Amino acid sequence: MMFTYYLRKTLRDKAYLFWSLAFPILLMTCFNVTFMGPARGEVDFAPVESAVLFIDEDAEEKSAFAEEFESVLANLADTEAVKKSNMGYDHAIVKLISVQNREEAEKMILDKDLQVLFLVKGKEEKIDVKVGDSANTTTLMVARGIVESYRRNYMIIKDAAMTAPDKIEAVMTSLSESISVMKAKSAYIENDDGTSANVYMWYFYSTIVMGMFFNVTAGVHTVFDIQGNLSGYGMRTSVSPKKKTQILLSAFSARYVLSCAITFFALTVMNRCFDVPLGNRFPHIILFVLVGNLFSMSLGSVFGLFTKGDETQRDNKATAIVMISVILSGEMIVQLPGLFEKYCPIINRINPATIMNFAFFRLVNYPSLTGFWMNMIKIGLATVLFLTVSILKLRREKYAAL
Amino acid sequence: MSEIIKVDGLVKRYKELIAVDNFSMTVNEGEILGLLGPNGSGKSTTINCILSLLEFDKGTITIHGKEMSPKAYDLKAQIGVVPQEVSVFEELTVYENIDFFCGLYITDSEKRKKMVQEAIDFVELNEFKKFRPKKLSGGLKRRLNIACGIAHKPKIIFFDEPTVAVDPQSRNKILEGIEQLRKEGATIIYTSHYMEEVEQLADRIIIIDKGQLIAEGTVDELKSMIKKCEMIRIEAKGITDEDLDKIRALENIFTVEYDGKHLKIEAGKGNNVVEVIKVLQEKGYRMKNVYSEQPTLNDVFLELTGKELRDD
Repeated sequence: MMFTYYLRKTLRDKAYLFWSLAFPILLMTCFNVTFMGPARGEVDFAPVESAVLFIDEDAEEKSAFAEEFESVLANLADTEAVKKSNMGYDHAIVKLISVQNREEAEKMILDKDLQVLFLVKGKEEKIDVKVGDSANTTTLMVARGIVESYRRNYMIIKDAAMTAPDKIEAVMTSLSESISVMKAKSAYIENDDGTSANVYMWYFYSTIVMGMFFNVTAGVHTVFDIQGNLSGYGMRTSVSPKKKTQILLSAFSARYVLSCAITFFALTVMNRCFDVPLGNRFPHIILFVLVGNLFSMSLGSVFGLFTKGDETQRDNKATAIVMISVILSGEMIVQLPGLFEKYCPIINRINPATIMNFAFFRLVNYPSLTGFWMNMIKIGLATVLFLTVSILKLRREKYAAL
Repeated sequence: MSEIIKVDGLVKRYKELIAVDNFSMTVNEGEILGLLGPNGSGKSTTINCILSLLEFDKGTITIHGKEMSPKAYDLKAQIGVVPQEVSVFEELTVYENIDFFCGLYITDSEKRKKMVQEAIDFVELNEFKKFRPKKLSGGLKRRLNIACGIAHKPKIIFFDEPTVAVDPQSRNKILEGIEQLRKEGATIIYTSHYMEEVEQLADRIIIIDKGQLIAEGTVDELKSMIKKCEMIRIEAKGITDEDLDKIRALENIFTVEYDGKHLKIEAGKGNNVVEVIKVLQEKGYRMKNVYSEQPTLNDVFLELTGKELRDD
């Protein structure tokens, strides 16, 4: 009964729904209009310096999987072939660099002479991508696009009925689609340190994080609902024979479930309506949403319990802090994280919104999940800390302490 | 009547400030006890200690002979609270609010449904039950506040200034409702600084100031505690100083003031009006508008503490 009523109460909280759901979607729409305008954000890119190595292959007799991939890369490296295709580029997509072995390739990557190394395991029909520091987001997306398009189309390619040129064309068409989406929507700002940020995606991810972080207000409301010293209804619940833990769990879980649902909805809108990629690591995305919302609600609980003022004032304080965090993460000025990285990297390391943005960005775009996990651990630890402090404070109040 | 609540030697300190100072009181079953005192006198602190919302420094609080504590769920189940502020959820309707707070006590949904409807009928909010609180007037919100506190049919109900900022019509409805609850068997602790309400409702009154019990008893008992029992006002022209002295000389007359037209006399117990009129009639003064006012609880408070009870 309590869960349902807390859920109903939150669903009717117009301010909460506006800031957590409507505002982020509105903002995403604005970003979409801004970046999808004619020629806006449309940038070209230089051919990606790539090398390919065939692992577990007989040099003389390559598997069909490896052989076809080699052909695709050769075509993408051929300016004339690209021009003839419907990809819309008048230059090669990749620049093939010959390497003898893995050691040499890795050294070239370290020396920034090579951006991408494709490691083809023909027997397993698997391709690993190694990306060097010199690779920016464009490079990364092109490399991933090539591999994904190839994987997607390999079944078609295997079809013996298809002629050789048709096979290549299928991959190039597919790749063209993924690159054109990226091309139309991307504007890249090259930072001083050589790294780059995908402005368009960064804005969207930052907006998702902002929506999640606005759930701090849900944390503030939760403690107000149960603490007798904070509100009249808190007093009523404290006087009642219901156990405090039970009321706390109902109030918290109702808001948490709703917050997570709102974030999933916003992610779906971002992906379906605005074509912003989410990648295919759905369990990780679920984890990201669960942890992010838990973090913001636990932060809200701390604000509700330890700051001064009435419910609205504490709400405003929590929202203001979240807004600062979100702005510092590049929501309005996308160059900010880059500048901080150069002049004051500690801000990027401790700012929760930046940590979450990076986590999501890495989750969607990076082959390795190390960065994602590092960021999630940071946020997870902060969540545990805030929750522990809040529970201790709530438990310590044996009496409601009016 | 049996003793239902007993507070013994209660002390509550806020650092240096002693909010409740060795306060003791009892509440009998089925009575309306008025707790009177100015703002900051310690009455809300006392109530909050009884409700286990506040930890106290010294003393004992028992309900039905059992010590009250935050975990005394069986005792809590018998209590209803109507806070001074309207404490309801703005996002829920009238019905939902009452159902939610009733649900903290009653888990059986069928039983609760019946109780919620009875509470709605009791505070006469039937036509507003689908309204959100913000659409209700101040008086209706107060009634909703009451319904949320009584829907589960508690045996002990605490009303903390339930008529603050309420129009006279709603105030009367609220007072009638409280009287009705008592008739139905509830024990009521009513705190207020509106003396007239307490005088009208309470079977017994406790006056509290600076955290201490100043006086306790029925309205009549309290009034009889003070010397000044009557205020006499008479309109009469040209009373001489000599005749004023004669009035002053009467037994039980404390003060006499005269401005050439209005005579104002403070008197103690006795047949004072008759005696004063007798003096004036003997001297042939023509009198108009003779008033005799009985002391109010404010007079009681003023005499016992040296300050006014009402501060607004």
